[in-house]
Amino acid sequence: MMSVLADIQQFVGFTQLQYIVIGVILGTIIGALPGCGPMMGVTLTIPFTFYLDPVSSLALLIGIYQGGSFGGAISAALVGIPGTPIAAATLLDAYPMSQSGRASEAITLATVASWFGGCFGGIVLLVAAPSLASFALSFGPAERLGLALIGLTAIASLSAGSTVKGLMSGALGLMLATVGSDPFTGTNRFDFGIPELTGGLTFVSLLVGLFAISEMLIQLESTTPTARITEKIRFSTKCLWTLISDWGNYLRSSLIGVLVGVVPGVGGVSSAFLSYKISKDLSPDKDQYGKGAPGGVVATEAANSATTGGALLPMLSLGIPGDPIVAVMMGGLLIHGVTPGPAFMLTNAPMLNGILGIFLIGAFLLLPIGWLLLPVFVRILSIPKSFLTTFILALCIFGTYATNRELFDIWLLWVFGFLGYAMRKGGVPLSPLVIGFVLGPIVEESLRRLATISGGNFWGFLIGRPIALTCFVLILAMLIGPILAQMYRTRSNEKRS
Amino acid sequence: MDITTGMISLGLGLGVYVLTFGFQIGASSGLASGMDASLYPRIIATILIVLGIILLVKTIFLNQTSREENAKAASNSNSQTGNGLIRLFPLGIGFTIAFPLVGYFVSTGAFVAAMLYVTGERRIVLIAATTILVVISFYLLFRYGFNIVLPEGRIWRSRA
Repeated sequence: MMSVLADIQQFVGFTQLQYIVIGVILGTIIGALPGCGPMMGVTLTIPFTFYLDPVSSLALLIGIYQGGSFGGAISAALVGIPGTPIAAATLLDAYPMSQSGRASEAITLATVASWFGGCFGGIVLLVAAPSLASFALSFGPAERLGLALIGLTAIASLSAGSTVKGLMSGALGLMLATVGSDPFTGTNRFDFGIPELTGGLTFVSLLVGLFAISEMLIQLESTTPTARITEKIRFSTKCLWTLISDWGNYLRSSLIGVLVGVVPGVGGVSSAFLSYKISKDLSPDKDQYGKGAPGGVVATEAANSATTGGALLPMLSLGIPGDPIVAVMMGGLLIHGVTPGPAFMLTNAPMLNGILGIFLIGAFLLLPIGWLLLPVFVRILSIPKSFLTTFILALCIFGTYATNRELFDIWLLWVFGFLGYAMRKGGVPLSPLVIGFVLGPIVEESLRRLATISGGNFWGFLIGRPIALTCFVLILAMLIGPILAQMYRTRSNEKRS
Repeated sequence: MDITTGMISLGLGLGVYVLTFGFQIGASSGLASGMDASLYPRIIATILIVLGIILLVKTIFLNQTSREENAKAASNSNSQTGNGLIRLFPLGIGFTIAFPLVGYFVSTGAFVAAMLYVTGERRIVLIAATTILVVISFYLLFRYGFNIVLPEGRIWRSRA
């Protein structure tokens, strides 16, 4: 324990603390803006992390992830529009509370619950990540391939829409990752004679185009008016007592959040709704849920904030991102030459402890920052959409340009913006593409090493590797499961009719 | 929409598969296992082809449309599809062409002002003030914060 504290002290100085604070503030602001959210925040920040050291850049990104996960609750409570999909469950009780004149109470409860959930997730991460990474040290290419494909398949199958489209998106991500020079033979692939493509597609152009530009295009088409907040919102200190009076709800919801977060592809939306359902079922005031029950706000916010810790666990310990935001953060680390996973744990254990410490500090700071800056966050909601869209677009363009100082990256930005827009309109999820792009090099390298080691006898080799075999059985189950479920539904419908 | 998605996946997979035959494959360690630079993209291309066929079969023969598709159709009725593309893309492409030619100040100023107008802002003074603020703040951030030299414009340089 003392060594962990010493590592945290070594890696988290005043500079990193500044970036955590900036991250939490920016994340909360972006999270509060309808249509933005932590994904947009992390995406827009990635280009600027090139100018920071790896720990500082991760401090900024983790802060944004944590702040963004909480920020959605502000707009959900005040205007009935969740800033992020994660806050959709929070809206069920927070908005009715605001409508009955308890807006300050609703937002304070969301802040306290997010703080508790985040800290809980941080503690679990601090305890579990090193143990899981130690276990994963013996993993070879077969296990790495199995885990990477599990992550990708889970996210593709559990994304909104059909499994087939999710898998298509993941395969497209894997394909885009092959553009450029082949790492084994040096052969140029899909570069079409364009020199800028020999080094591969720029991660920032792909990311910002897919998520931010396509979101701006969707926003331009929506007719949602800018919010008008007239009520004065203040942090209500009496809500802190709910930490004692409703401790079971806080603890249970946080635990659900962490457990759900660890499973690739499930994420904060599912954890919040699951936690809400359980909290409602166990509450003596069931009837109040959906009409402004404080327990509902606590359950959803504690769960979705704890999910952030759970989602980081597989990325830091196994090198497999648990959700798209974490995949983006992993991409940011890879740019710095830091490859998360068991090997990173072995060679850079103090740095890993520093990162875990950053997460815990960020989670802890959410409460004082929320307390002090709540009125500022509320005012942000009143910014006209035209100014916001223009500012974000400018940030997208110049952030992308700043990465390599190449005009070609801006052209790629528009190409991926169009691709993201077309995918959204076609109901094809974007997250599997990003995860496929990040995991692509790991998948290809593991597959080719495995082919060499196994001498072509792939399945025979797997029988001697139980962990890898389990991974492949799980992948098959995830692929066949939805088909069987569909067949069962069709039969049930036929019987009924 | 599912038919279009299936067709695109099928076409993309086939296109990628054909393109892999053009790779110039050299001798290396990767070849010892029989996995040269083209095999992995071919595996993914095959996956894309199979998924495209599955989606087409599901949509055409089994008449199954995804839940997302139905939800999108409902939400699209509240928004103007294509409107965002029509408004943003010409501006974005125009900016990208103008950026190296006329330089940061002129291209960014014009882009920001046009974007504000296109997104519904009609108060000229506010547009002008915001444009100046954005152009100057971004210049200071990138030039002095990140030490990035922004283009001055080829036109002005050639005239000088």
